[in-house]
Amino acid sequence: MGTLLCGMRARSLQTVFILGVLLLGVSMLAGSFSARQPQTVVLDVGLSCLRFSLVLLAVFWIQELVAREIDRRTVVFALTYPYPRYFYLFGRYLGILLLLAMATLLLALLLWLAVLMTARSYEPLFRVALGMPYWATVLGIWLDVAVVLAFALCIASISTVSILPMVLGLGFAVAGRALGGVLQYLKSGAEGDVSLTGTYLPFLNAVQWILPDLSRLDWRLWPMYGNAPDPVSAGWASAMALSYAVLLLWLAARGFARREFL
Amino acid sequence: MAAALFAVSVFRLEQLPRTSIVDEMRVELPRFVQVLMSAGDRYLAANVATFRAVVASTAHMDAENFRVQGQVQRDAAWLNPAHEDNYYLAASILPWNGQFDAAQYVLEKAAQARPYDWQPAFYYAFNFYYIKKDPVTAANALLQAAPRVRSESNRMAMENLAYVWYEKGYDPATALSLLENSAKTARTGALRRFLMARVERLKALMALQQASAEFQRRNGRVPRNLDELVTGGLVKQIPADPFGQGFALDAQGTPVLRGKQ
Repeated sequence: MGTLLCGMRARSLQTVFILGVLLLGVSMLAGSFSARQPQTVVLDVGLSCLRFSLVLLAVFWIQELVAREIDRRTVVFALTYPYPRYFYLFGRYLGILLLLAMATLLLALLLWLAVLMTARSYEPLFRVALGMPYWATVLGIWLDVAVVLAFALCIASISTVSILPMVLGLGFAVAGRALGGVLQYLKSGAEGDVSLTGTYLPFLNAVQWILPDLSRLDWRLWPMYGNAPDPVSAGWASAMALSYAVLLLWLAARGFARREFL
Repeated sequence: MAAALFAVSVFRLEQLPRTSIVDEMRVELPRFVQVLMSAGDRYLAANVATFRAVVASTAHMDAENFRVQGQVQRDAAWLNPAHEDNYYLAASILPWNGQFDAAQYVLEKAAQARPYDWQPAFYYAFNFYYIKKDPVTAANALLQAAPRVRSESNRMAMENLAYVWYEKGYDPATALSLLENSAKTARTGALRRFLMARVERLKALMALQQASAEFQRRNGRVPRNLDELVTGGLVKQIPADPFGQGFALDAQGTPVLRGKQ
């Protein structure tokens, strides 16, 4: 099943390449505004753009390879094979995950080169760490997007509106990321804004049990400032992400199993 | 006929003035809105906030604009306390424009988030010394910064400076040399020119203050205006202020920046 997706690669490669160029352009532009740390800013903005590009690619591929097939009912052909329905679903997921991994590697490599090039023009007082810390951060981002992918797949498996996986997938990506920061802000008192904390804090405290805090997978402080994440929390964050993805896939399988296509 | 109308309207519009751009720094958003607007990414939100502060043109800003900049930089410090540009800009601009507390907040957070970096702790101490004229608090803070300096000789120099501050109290010459060093390490560009210009202004001010003290010693009274220093032969001419603000005498006859009397 996964091999079917490799045939799709040619058209997507252009998209990845364009996104990569945009990513680099924005990051290097941002870096040129930095008075003291152009390298760090290129890396910082680059990682933000990397995550954003991967999320776009993930929902795009779900749209192209799952939602459209369901829409056109061509999925029925795949389902006539003597395998349980969820094979198709998981096959698609793993295939896109692989595509994402390749896109991640490519974009991360481009960013890596951009950061190295920036180092030539100005000697910063603090260098970024581009070895293990960088690639660990990239892995964290890939895990983050893997969860978003699972969510988008889940929506696609049960939704009848074709645009929904893309829209909800993007929303989930933003919400999952924002949760950590917003929760921290409210818990620390929201600068004394009691009405804000009163209204939203109980709600968000409940929400964190159903929405994963994806910002915990962002370990960019390690390459940027040498602040390695605590291995225990990094481990638990990964476990949370993976288990959530598995839950979503299970939900997707159940929803898909009962679905009527014709 | 539409083409003719288009040509005429372009011609007329060219002559009419544009409405001026909104004040440099007016907009401040709650932090969680900034996070949401950056697709949930707090580091991107920090970069955006710092970017706003970096591109603001300080020459056209009034006190309210600086208050907003202080808030924007506070937000950036909350979102990513280790952000180097943010603390550097905060140290360079905010304390000199009435935003002492905002600057110290940013510098304190940066010092906590960057335990290997002596600079935010140093600027924190320096601000107490120069802006608040409080050498004791400054010296205490400087001693906190000193262990972070990697080179042994520099660390001892910093500790020594702290003791000098304890002993001598506030001394303008020390302040000036510190500012000069800080300006020289900035990357070339508008910020560096700004910092060097500020050093020039402070040098000019100090020269005037020394001349005024000398005048007092010789004549037993404070000068009534700056020209008396020129006619008295203490300065060749009134130095030019690189920022165009100019110098004046305050009520006690001490030369100060015009507008701060």
